[in-house]
Order: sequence, then structure tokens, then C-alpha cells
Amino acid sequence: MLRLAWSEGRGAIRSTWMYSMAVALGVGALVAVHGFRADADRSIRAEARSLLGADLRMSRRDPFPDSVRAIVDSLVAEGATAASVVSVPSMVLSSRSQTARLFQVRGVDGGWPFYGHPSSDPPGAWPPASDHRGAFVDPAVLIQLDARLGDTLLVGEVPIPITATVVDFPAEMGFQAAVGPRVFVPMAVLEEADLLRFGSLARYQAYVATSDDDAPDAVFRRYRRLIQAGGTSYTTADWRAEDLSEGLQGLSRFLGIVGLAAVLLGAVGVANAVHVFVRAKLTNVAVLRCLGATRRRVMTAYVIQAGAMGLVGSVIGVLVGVILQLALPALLTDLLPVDITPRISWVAVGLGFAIGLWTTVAFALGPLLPVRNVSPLRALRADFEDAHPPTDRLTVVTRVVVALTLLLLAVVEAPTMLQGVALAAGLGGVVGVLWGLAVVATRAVRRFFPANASYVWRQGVANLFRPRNQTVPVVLSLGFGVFVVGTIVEVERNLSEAFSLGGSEGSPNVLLFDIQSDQRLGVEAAAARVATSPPQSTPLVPARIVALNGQSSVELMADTTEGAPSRWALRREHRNTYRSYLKDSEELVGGSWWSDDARDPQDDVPGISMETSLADALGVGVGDRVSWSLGGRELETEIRSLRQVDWARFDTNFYVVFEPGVVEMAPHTWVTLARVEGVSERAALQRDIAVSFKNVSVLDLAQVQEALDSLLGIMRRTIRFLAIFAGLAGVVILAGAVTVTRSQRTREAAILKTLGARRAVVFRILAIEYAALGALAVTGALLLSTVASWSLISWFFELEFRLHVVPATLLVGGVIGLALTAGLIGSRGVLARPPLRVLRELAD
Amino acid sequence: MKIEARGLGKTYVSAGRPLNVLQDVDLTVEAETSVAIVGPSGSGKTTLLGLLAGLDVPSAGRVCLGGQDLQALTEDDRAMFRARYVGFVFQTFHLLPTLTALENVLVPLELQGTRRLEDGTLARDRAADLLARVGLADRLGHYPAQLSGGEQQRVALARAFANQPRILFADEPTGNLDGETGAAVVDLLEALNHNERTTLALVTHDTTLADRAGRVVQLAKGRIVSDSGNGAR
Repeated sequence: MLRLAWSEGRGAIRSTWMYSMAVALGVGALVAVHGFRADADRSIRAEARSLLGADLRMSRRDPFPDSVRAIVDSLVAEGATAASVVSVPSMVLSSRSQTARLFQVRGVDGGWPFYGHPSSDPPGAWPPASDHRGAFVDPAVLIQLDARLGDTLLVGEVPIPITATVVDFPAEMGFQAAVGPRVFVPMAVLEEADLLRFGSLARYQAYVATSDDDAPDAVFRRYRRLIQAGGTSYTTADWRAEDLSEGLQGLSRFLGIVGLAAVLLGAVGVANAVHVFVRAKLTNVAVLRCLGATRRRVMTAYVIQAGAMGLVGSVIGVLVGVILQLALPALLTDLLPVDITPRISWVAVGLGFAIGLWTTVAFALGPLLPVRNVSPLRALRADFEDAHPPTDRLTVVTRVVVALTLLLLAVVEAPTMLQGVALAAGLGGVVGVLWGLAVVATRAVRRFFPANASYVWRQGVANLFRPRNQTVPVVLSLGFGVFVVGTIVEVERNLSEAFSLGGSEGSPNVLLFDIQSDQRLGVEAAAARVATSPPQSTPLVPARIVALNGQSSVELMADTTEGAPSRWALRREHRNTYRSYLKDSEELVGGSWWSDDARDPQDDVPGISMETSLADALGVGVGDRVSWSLGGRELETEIRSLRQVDWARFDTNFYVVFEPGVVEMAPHTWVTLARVEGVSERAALQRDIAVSFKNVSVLDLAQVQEALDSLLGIMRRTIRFLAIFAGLAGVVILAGAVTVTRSQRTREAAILKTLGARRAVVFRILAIEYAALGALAVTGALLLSTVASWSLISWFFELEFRLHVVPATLLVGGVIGLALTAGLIGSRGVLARPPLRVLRELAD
Repeated sequence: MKIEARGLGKTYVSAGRPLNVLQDVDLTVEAETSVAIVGPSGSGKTTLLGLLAGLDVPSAGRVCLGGQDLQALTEDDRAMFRARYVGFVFQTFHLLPTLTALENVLVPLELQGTRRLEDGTLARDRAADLLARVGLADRLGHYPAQLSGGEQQRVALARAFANQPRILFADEPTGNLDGETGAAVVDLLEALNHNERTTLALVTHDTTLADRAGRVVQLAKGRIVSDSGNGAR
């Protein structure tokens, strides 16, 4: 049987190896992504404790209440170790360079981190002696302040020398760490600096390392209720590791889906090759049948051939995947919280291999089925038409197998069963629509192509419909690649624009916050000196929800039934504001806005306007009562209106707005926005504020933008890297299709040359054929990718969609160019061979 | 147009070894006469025909068509020469599968950019007329796959005469047809050849067809072993 498969298939190796490569690309992407996921998981779990630096972290926006302190004390009494860390964003000035920047200043007390191996430069400086008075900083601090070790920093007004830089400190992932390089100072210094004023964005944290190595979770379970009751959030090392790996899983799942798409493309390619191959082999099959081969035997021989193509593709794919897996951590290095040591994941290798092999065979079964119905008579009469039997059981089984394969693969790649089904439906839908578009477009071209166009054009386009043509499969597979790349590019462009802070002319680019009421005028004046338009200040009123419609938030948080108010909304400290007007970035969707007239203090319950997503989270609407704790005083309010807020706009936006005349006297701080042109002007403002208003922080959005851009850049690189795979698989399939139909085109070229066509004419016909193929593929796919990216941006990201013509045009040009290049490269030699030699071979 | 070949030889490399397909062939075919080239399989008939038509370059010797030395021309020039003066009929028809019968017949004219002939006839009309003359007036819009073998060969005949060739090369024109259809195609070939005053070189196994040519050249092992008749019609 194997010998029959080999002798029947060896001749096709040259023309079908390309399809194996398409499978290899897909398998490679899958193995790499799964292997990387395993690496990341393993590394994060191994370092779970050093990621937190402790077993437990409790955290809140204001000093810990006595109840939490008591828990820490009793844990320490049981043998645990505890430390407190207070973080506050603050301006820090380097006295030598006179440069001031906003950093995360952390007061540390008690020997945190307890786990992990922070290393310092100069080496050995960490851990410091308990009475050491010096600052440890992230290396970025030195760069941003243009400072050196030993320089003096001014934190508030307290001078402190830089002792060392520290690396491998337990780090926050992503945005926060990127915006705020950290300055670690002894807690005493932070207290002296007097940065912890009312309303500051401070975060108080208590870290605990248990004495009992085995059961930190059990220890904390005892105190969970007590901790939560005080509105304190907490996490354990294990949870944090889980969170981190979930975050990475999101990314790797996305990459996995792209890999899956590449595998499916490869499988479609193989099915396509098998289809062409079988059609060309029908006479051989008939001869074999004449010579006594059974249907089953012949069919099995061809299934083995398809399996061999899948096998070759999968083996090469596994090798490619392992190499890629080594490359991925380097690509993502700035995004990962831990060092990842790549290790071959045999699960990933096995899975990739199995998926490649199985998918190839499953998809090849359909086109192989006609082999069963070949009549031996065909060997005697070439024009003998095989009977087309009605759809039989095997055909149905084959279709079911293909559908189940798709479903199974999607379920493996998606986080949940339901999402897997949705993914399968989505992939199936995209392929279906692309297929439909390809069929419609090719038929339309055939039908409506102008009859008076020049011969070369007509022949080039007519070539798309040659017998055994692969126009639809190629348009589909190339189109799928275009769809993936096009959607990613379009979504990424839209997101980049949405995350572009203060990029537009005249919009604010400097944010000053933690301004006390008595500092407001001074800060505004300082900003006005360099700003191009008058700075705008907004009051910030910190408040906690204590009751909804009379039911206390403690009771509500204990309610775990579905539909109960969300805990985060009840627990968080809300930073609200008050004003009389509705802003451009807001839209009233329920109730009515208060009138401008001054409110009569004797009036009924004061009104608030709530943002819709918060109202949904709390399960409240217009007319419901919300009670707040404002600096120790309780205030009951009524929801008068609901607003939708465009959060993407860089502006001071709020979940809750009080009506004027209610909370003006409650303790609050101010935020000021200003537009300051020029890097040196912004640096000067930061220095002035650091010197004159030590507790006020200045955020230069250009710097934030830089940090954000670099973060987005990493994601973009990774996604593009994998998107290239889907695109490449499409191109490989095109190249494969060109190779498979090569003999046909060689024959046509020979005929044309015999009839008197010059090489240039034949070349032009071929070029038109491939350009048309590329154009057909890109048109439908671009249409579909526009719909997909519009849906993602509008519904998933809830942003305004903008179509980008330049990348779309580049994609059109690129794909046509690619199709042209691949086609002409695949056709080299078609032109060069003398017609006589081709015709002689055909006669043979 | 006169065909002249002198000292013609062709060597191919097959499985790494040189294979002499044709050796030292001298052949002259006077204008407006016919010659049938016969011989067993592998005797070099098709290669000789191909070299006479300039479809490949001989390893030795030279070919002149109507006084034009083909070796002096580049491949493209030879193609243009064929487009202008040569017609071709193949055993396996070799129609372009993506074009209709009418479009297939038009190809040689379109390759020359001819939309209207010298006598003022439209190229399309000429093609339709030729198809009518081979009995396919009602099949103009059919694709090759929709035609029988005999019909395809008749389209191929019409195509071969579309550019009013001075020489017609035919390679086993009846080889793939049953006796009756083959005879009908030969009748058509002769009639067209006679009317258009074309020089005819045909390769065949069919002795009846060869006898109708008026001159029979027999090949064996790449050499001419006999040459009978004068080819006059």
C-alpha cells in the first residue's frame, strides 16, 4: 500500500511541496505560541512570590483602619513578617541637573521585598541597613533626571542622596510602571516630605510574609471577611501570578488564533492541491482499477499521500515553531514581568504536530472522495464521464469530520467552550463570506469584462477560468491573509489614534494634580506663565458610597447573588466633581440636567448625575438614592440624570457629578489642565511646581505618550509578527497553486508562441492573470476587513471608527505586487522553454 | 513559400545522455506543394516539423522559409514570422481552453494586432467565415470542452488558416480522430490548402493521408530513408 502511495505520489512532490510549507507555517505559529504560553506560565508560577515580594498584599487609598492594623499585628504575633509601603506620585527634583519629573515615590518600612533577588548598582547596596538614609531608584530615574549616583534628590523639600539603582524589584506590569519609574525612600523621609495631604493619589500597602511556608492561603482565608469589610483590597502571591498569566494568556490566545488561521489556510491549500492532483490522476486511477486495485486500496493510497504532505509540513512546522518560541520572549521582553527561560514544551510540539497532520488529512478527504467513483472504463475512453453518485454516507461523514475539526481546534484555542464555538463560527463565517465574494467576483469579471479590451488583457483575465483553475481557492486563501493583516492594521491604527494623548492642536498636554484649594490660584498662575491658553481647573471631591436606597454598602457587598451591585463600585473611592453644565464629551441619556439657577439649600435631596456604566454596575437608575461619605460626613443624593462619557477624549471626565451648591464646602482638591508648547517650557513648569508646590504633581503627556507608544509598540510588533504568518500562508498557497498549474501554463505558453506570440506578449498575459488574481483577493478581503475592524472598534472598543486610506491602498498595491511576483517567479521557465520541447513532452 | 533545410540535426539530452533525434537532414519543399513526413514512432518526425517551423533551434544545419534564414532571427522574431506566414495543426488540437471557438480562431490575428484584413474584411468576420467553412457556424461561442474531438480539430484547422499562412505545418492532424471524422478533417485541410495556396508539411502515420500529399518523405532513426513524388497538387 505504501509503495503504491509512493509510486503514485512521487511525481507530484515537486508541485505540491509548497502546500506542505503552508501547513508548516501554521503549525510553526501554533507550536511557538503554545510553547511560549507554557514558558510564561511556568516562569511566572516559579517566581510568584518574588513578583509580589510577599505572600499577601493589602492595599487602599487612605491609611489602614485599625481593624486591618490589628490583623497585621496578630499575623506578626503568629510569626509572620510585615512591612508597609506608601506610594505617592510626586515631583522629584535633581539638585545638580535642576531637572524635575513626576515619579512614583515609595516610602518603605520593614524590609520589603521579602522574596526575590533585587540587585543593585553598585552591587551589594541592597538591602540597606535599617537606619540608612538614601534613595534607591529605577534606572530610568537617573536617565530622566540626568542624574548620577550620589546626586541629591529633593523629595518634597527633603534632600536625599541616590544610593543605588535597583533592578528585579517586584514590578507592576504595563502602564503604571511605564509612566512612573520608582524612587524608594525610607518611610521616615516620605513622612518628613509631607506629601500625604488630603486627596493625594497615595496608595497604602501592607506586605506580609507568613512564617508557615505551606499555607499562606489558609492563613489569609481566616481574615478575608475582616479585611474586605474595611474596604481594603488584597491579593496573594498566587492570585497575582494567576492574574499575570491570564494577562499573558489573552495575548497568547490572540496569537494562537492567528496561528490557527494559518493552519486552516494550509489545510485548505493541501485540500486544493489534492483536488488538482486527483483530477489529473483520474486516468491513472482507472488504470489501477483495470489492473485489479480495489476502490479501498486506491483511496487509501491517496489518503497516505495527503497524510505524507501533512506529515512533512507538521515536522518542519514543529522545528520552525521551536525556533520561533525561542525568539518570542526576546520580542516581548519589556512587557514580561519575569525572565522567561524557553524550554521545549512537548505538549505544544505534540499538539501542533497532531493538529497539522489531522487537519491536513481531514481537509483532504473531501477532494479524495471522487477517487472511489472512478470507473475502470475511463482507462479505455478518456471522454468517459464518471457517474456522479448521490451524496452518500461517507461524504456526509467527511463533511462532519471537517466541521468537527474546525470546532475542536477553535475550542482548544479559545478560553471557553462558548467562545470556541463563536470563534469556529466566526472563522467559518469569514471563510464562507470570502468564498462567496471570490465566486461572485470571479463570475462578475468573466461576465462583465469588456469584449473590446485588447487581446492580452482578455487572455490574461480568461486564464483565471482555465480548466482545473485554482482561482477561487487562491482568492480565498490570499484573501484570508489580507483579511487578517488588514483588520489588524486598521484596528491598530484606530487604537493608536484613540490613545494619542493631547496630540491634536491646542488640546491640553500638561496635567497638574493634587492641588489643595489654597494652592489653586498659585498653580494656575504658574501654569499661565508658560501656557498658550488659560489653564482650566476642575474640583475633585473624594467620596465613598455608604448606602444605596437606604441599604448599607456593607450589606450590599455581602450579597453574592447575581445582579447585586458590583463590589468594585461599592468599595472604590470615587473622585467626583461638581458643575452646572454638561461637557462636550458627555451625552445625557436619561433624566434631566439641573438648571443654572442657584439651588435652594432648603430644597429636597441634592442631585447627582451618574455615568451609565457605573449605574449599571450599581444597578441603579434615575430617581434612586445614593449616600456618600465625604470626609467623614454623610450625604444622601438622588440620581437626577444618566450620562454617557467619551472616555477616549483626553479631558477631566467623571463617573459622578454633583449639582452645584452641595459639596463645595466638603474637603476637595483640584486638577488643572494646560497646553504648554515646547519641551523646555514644560521642563521649566515641572521645576517651578516642584520647588514652589511640593505636593502638586505635574504629568507631561508627551512623556506618557512615549511610554504608552513603547508599550503599544511591543504589542504591535508581536501581533504583526504573527499576522505575517497568516499573510505568508496565503502567499505560499498562491505560489503552490502556481506550481500546480505550471504544466498547464507551460503548454499554453508553447501554443501561443507556436501561433506567433512573442515572449513579451506571453509575459504580459501571465502578469495580467496574477495581478487580476491579487486584485480579486484583495478587494473582497479588504471589504470584509473594513467591516470587521469597524465592528471591533465601534462595538468592542466603543470608539469612533475612521477608515485609513493609505494603509488600505498600500495593502492593495502590496497584495497585487505580491501575487504578481509569486506568480511570475513560479512561472519562470514557462517562457524560456522552446515550444517544440514542450510539445514533444506533451506528445509523450 | 518554399521550405529549405540543409544538414539539419538535433540532439537532446535524455537521462544525462545525448540523444540524436535528427541527423543530417536535407529537405526542400517547393512553394504551394505538399509533403507528408512518415516513419515509425521515435524516428524524429515531430522534431523535424518543429525545427522547420522554427519552434526550436537545430543543433546543426539551417532552415530557410521563403528565403528567410530562421537562425538569423531571435526567438521573438521567429514567433513574429510564424504569426505572419505560418499555420499549425496539432494531433491533440491544442486549443486554448479559456477561449471560445471564435476567440481561438482569432488568436493568430490578434497576436499581430490585426482587426481588419488587407481586403477590408473584419478579423472577426474572417474567423466566423473560416468556422462556417469547417461546418461550425453554429458553435462560435462554444468553449473547447463543449466540443467533440472532431469539432475541436476543425476549430484548430480554422485557426491555422486565420492569418492566411503561406506554409501550414500539421502534426498528425487525424491521429486523435476516428476514421470518418479524420477523413472529413483531411478533406477540409486539402480544400483550405488548395484555396489558400499554402505550402503543406504534414507528419502522419496514416498512409492514405500520406498518399494524398503527393510526396512522401520517410524518416527512420532521425534520417531520411526515402523520398518519393514531387508534391505537386
